[in-house]
Amino acid sequence: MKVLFLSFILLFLTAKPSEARLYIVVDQPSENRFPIAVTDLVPEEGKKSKPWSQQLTKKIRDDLELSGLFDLIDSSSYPSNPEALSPNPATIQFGPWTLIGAQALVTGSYSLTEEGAKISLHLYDPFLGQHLVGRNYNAKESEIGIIAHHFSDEILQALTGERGVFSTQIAFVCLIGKKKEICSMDMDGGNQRQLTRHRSIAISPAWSPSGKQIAYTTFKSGENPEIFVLTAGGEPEQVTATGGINLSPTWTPKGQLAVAMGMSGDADLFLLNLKGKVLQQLTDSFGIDINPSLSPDGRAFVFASERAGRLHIFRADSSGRQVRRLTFVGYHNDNPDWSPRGDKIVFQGRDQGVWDLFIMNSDGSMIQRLTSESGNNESPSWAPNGRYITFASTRNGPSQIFIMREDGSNQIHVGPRIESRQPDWSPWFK
Amino acid sequence: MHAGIFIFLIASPFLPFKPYSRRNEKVTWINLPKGATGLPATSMKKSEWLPKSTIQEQKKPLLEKEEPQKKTPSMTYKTNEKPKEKGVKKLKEKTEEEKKMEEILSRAKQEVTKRKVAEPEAAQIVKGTQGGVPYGSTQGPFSSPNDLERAQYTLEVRNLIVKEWIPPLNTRSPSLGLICKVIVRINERGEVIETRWDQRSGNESFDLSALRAIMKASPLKPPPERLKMEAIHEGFIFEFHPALLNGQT
Repeated sequence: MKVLFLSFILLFLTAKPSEARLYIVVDQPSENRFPIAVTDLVPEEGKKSKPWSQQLTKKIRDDLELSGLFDLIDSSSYPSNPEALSPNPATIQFGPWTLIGAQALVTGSYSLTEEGAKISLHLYDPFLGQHLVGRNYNAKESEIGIIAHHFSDEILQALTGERGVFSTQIAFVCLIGKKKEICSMDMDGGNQRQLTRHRSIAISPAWSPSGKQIAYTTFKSGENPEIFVLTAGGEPEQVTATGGINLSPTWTPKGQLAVAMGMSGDADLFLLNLKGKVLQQLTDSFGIDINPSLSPDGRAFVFASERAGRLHIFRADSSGRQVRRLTFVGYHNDNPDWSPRGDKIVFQGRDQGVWDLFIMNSDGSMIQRLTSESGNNESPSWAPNGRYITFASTRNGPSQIFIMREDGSNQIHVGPRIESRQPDWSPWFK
Repeated sequence: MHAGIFIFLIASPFLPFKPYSRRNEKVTWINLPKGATGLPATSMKKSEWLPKSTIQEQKKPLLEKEEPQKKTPSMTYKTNEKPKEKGVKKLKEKTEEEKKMEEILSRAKQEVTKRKVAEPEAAQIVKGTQGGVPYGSTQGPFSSPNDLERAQYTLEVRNLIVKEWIPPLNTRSPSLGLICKVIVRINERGEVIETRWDQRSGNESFDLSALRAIMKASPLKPPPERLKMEAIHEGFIFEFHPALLNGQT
């Protein structure tokens, strides 16, 4: 009897207690964006604030807004006590910032020097009281845009673990008078520059993997389009001289060019070196093959082809074999661009009389629409981090350059007011 | 003999069979809004056209669908409308009750067609072995609740916390596997009166975001009479892990 009693006691001791608490899994973050505060820079003691210092912080705010990730806390709710605004990481107080819910805080200071200014910028986590990033810059007034973009990249890196793209550029076709030239700008639309002066038609700009060269097509040398390469600080150099059609250049990770070439209207894809020598024929089919885009590892490429009748997206390995059709729906699917992350392909498709943008997995599955009811949306191109896409849209009248997040959210006009097309997002500059 | 009983009793929880039958257990299935179901749509047809709605439009129902549930304590017919539509077609003789149901369903159908928010389309369904629902699928206690009232209440509390939870951007990737669990006690009005850690993620910033979400969501919904014992005396365990993303990093 004693043993039985003891065994019951033991059972009670070893049995798992019943779970009476209500168990709730919270597996979905809020739709709310990440709250961040960006204060104006504090000038050195006794000095008046310079207008350019406010421009610098405005540019950082604009960058963060553009990313679509942040909720910029309205500056009217910022604390005004000097301890909360202290530019010194050792003395700054975070209490007032946590009260307004700032999960990240950007502060900074500057002092004037003979050449310009010494600028110090900091990023904090107010809830942890942690200094996350600090950078000092010696700069001229004309360089505040570069500094703002650089520090915005640092903020993104610290808060998301991924490199920001605010220091990158977008090349595009700009309408100068009645001529089409290649232009470039910062990804937020600043620092616009005209790169070519052919006074002809220049189209299809494509950045090289190093970001130092841009390949493009121009009709400059006569009636036939030829491929040119523009090197930073140099003159444009002609690559092809076939007298036939040479279109849609794109770079391989090794720095070669994949180009649509043909003597008649039926273009096929070829691999060229920068001297125009054909290294390999990639495709040979009935109907045009055009607009190739290589996978980030260079082992495969996607392209648009008429071989199935209407224009559709196809995929092949780097030697042009193992061709697989990726799109079976829609008609005139064109301009595919392979994500730098390798998992997605963005393309344009003609639907109900207009061009819209779509995204799919790199095996052709799960096609999703990114744009709708907003004019023609064309020529998508990935940002180097694979988080954003630039494209041209006619939603405001003439074609202009826009950017959006990879899921189609936050569609923002960044480009010039003049007619602009065929944007290509640069890689990160080394 | 006694020693044998003793060994059997000690070992019984670890044996592969259950010493009692569970056949008589009643199981009630309910449909939950997107974001709380783990059931993949398995019979999606192959697409014939490009999707008509954007990803953004398709994400809207995630939050919109959760709202009406807060006001209605019992499950509405809306959540069951699709499975029942087929059944209506098969009816040959209609009783009064069935006619009424049909009327309700047709009204529900009209409402659904009026709605601007779009469902994922066939072209967006992943081929092969991957799941059929691009958004809003997860594994968890909500997958097969057998207590309607309990499931309803915990879902409503979950939604309150979800609205307030802003985890740091670099902790949101499910591949990081960050999980923290917080034990929470509330009073009769639903106000949070105590929080303590059951499990920490190892990332201070992530853990703090979970605590902030709980405090900001307070007061939680007061528990229904039958769940008071558990909610007030035993409290909650909230498990935070970002398995579902809202298109963010």
